[in-house]
Amino acid sequence: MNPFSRRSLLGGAAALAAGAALPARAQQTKRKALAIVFFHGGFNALHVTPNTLMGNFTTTPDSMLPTGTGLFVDKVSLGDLPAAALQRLAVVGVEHSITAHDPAQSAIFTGTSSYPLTIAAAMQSNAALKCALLGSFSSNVRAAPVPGASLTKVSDVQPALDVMVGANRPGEPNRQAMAKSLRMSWSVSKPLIERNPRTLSGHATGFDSLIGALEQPVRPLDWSSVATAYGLDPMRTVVDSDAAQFAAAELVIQGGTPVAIVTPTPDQGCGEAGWDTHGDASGACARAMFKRRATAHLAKFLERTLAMNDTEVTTLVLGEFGRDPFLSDHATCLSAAVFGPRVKPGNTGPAFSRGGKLAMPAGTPGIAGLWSLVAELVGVTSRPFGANPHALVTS
Amino acid sequence: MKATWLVLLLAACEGTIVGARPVPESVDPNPSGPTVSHVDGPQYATAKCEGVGMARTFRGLDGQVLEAGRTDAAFDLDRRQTRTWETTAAWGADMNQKLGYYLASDGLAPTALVPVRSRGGVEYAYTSPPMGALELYSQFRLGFLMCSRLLKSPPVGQLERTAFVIDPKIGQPFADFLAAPTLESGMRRCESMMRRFWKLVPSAEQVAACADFAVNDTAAFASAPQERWAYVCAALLTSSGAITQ
Repeated sequence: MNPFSRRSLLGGAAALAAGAALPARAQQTKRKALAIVFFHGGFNALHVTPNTLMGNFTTTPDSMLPTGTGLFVDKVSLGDLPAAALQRLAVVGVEHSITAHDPAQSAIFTGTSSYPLTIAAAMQSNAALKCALLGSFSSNVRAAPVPGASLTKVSDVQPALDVMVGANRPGEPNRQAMAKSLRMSWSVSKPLIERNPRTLSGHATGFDSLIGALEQPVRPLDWSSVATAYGLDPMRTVVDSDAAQFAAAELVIQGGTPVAIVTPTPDQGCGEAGWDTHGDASGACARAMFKRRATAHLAKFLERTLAMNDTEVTTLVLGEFGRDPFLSDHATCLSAAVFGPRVKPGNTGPAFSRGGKLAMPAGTPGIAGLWSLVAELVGVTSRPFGANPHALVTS
Repeated sequence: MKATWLVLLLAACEGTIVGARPVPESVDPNPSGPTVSHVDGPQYATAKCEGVGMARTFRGLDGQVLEAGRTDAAFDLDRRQTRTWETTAAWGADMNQKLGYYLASDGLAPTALVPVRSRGGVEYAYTSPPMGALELYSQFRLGFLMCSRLLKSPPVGQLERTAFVIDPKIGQPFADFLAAPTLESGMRRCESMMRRFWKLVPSAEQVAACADFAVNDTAAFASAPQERWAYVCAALLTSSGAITQ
């Protein structure tokens, strides 16, 4: 039998023709996703806008690296990021005037409702997990469910994999049967959910998300290859390290999750306060700890997510505030970083020192402005936080 | 002096002091109205309480209306909280109590459920921990495994635990579970499982919805009677009544 039949050759030619047309079409149909990398304690502006801080935090021309787009990053902390990522970097200014951790952490994530959850809901994904938390939040961060999205803590990849790609192992429930069963379960739950609209608000979202996910065709996901890329043991599925957080974030995004949140853990290198790097006037400690704890994982994450064929991933890197040049105290403002295919390189957060305090140009937008930008970058057109004041989106 | 205060305090508690008296239930002129306005004075208009007829108003010793200005929650709403299982053992104990079988959850590790208490960012003090897709999936999957185990190998001889599968009169599984669900058996077993898992009385509509699922839907994806019943059982174990308290 001839293995190359006429039909198979024609099929192959058609596939090649379709492949040639793929880039333009794929560009139009790419899913969007948002990754949030949050540093509890603070995110020093020296990492992303060292040129405007020249002379502070021992920043010199030799300590920074040009990105090729008119911006500069700190060589130690971000110099090892892939060039493709640095060329898709923008720096976003946030002026919020809050210097205490608790209210700043609360405000950075929650306006009238949770910013990430509002974005996740507005993205209208049919994924089971709308917003996955791979690390941990402090209790200051409110994450009350919003209609259409709730926060799901993923401490082990295996259950998330089961939900996304399905177990269907012998003796286990069948996915389609489970979906039908859950429809009945939701139906008989409705009276109770309606009597408890606030306390059980997550139930309706949970049923809706899970049934939707179970009724979808299964996506092929390969934890083994993702884990290996981040230097993890592919047999372990527990999310108990920074590398595992980034790897799990990539996995859930591959599985269709619109929003994933990573919270890198500090070490004791700058004292017990972690990313809250008081006394680090030279910036040496913040640089070194960032390099030790985050750079390699972030670099791998950006390299892999920017190369995804079917998903446009925007990555937001921030803390609750920046650090004052004088003794690295709490600042009232923040220079956040955002990477992504739709990011237009630019800097709306050129932080500088004013009498030892970190300062922003007059008129720098507040927290809602940051999330308005992020919402636009991930394709949310409903402007849930108002108009985007940052001209950092490619047209 | 102390005795005087004690008398005053007791009198206030008894409602014999003017201003601290309980409001007569029959005086509400508008039972369907949104506010309580049956006590004199314009300041009372701000005291909103939907539990008209059950509410009391109180005055302090200086005549101040103690509840004035408060925004009351709607009556009887948001009293139910999602269960939190801090450990696998705690989850297992709850499931075993529901299923009446002390081995039902043996060896099953609900990884997605255990960390509920430590999940970050959720203010469970006043916002119930969410039961999202991951937790519901895990609960259903484990519920299915437990119910299958129970229906295939019922724990004969443990009548004191009154497993819902066992007929205490004969010490054997109910005949209903050995045959495909019918409307009658579906109604009967759905109601008994709902009562057991929820500790609430289901409505006729809820029982009918469950029975309809048992009779008509399960046939499409399962053939063995025990497997069909296991889907019914797992679905009810995942329903909000079973995962809240």
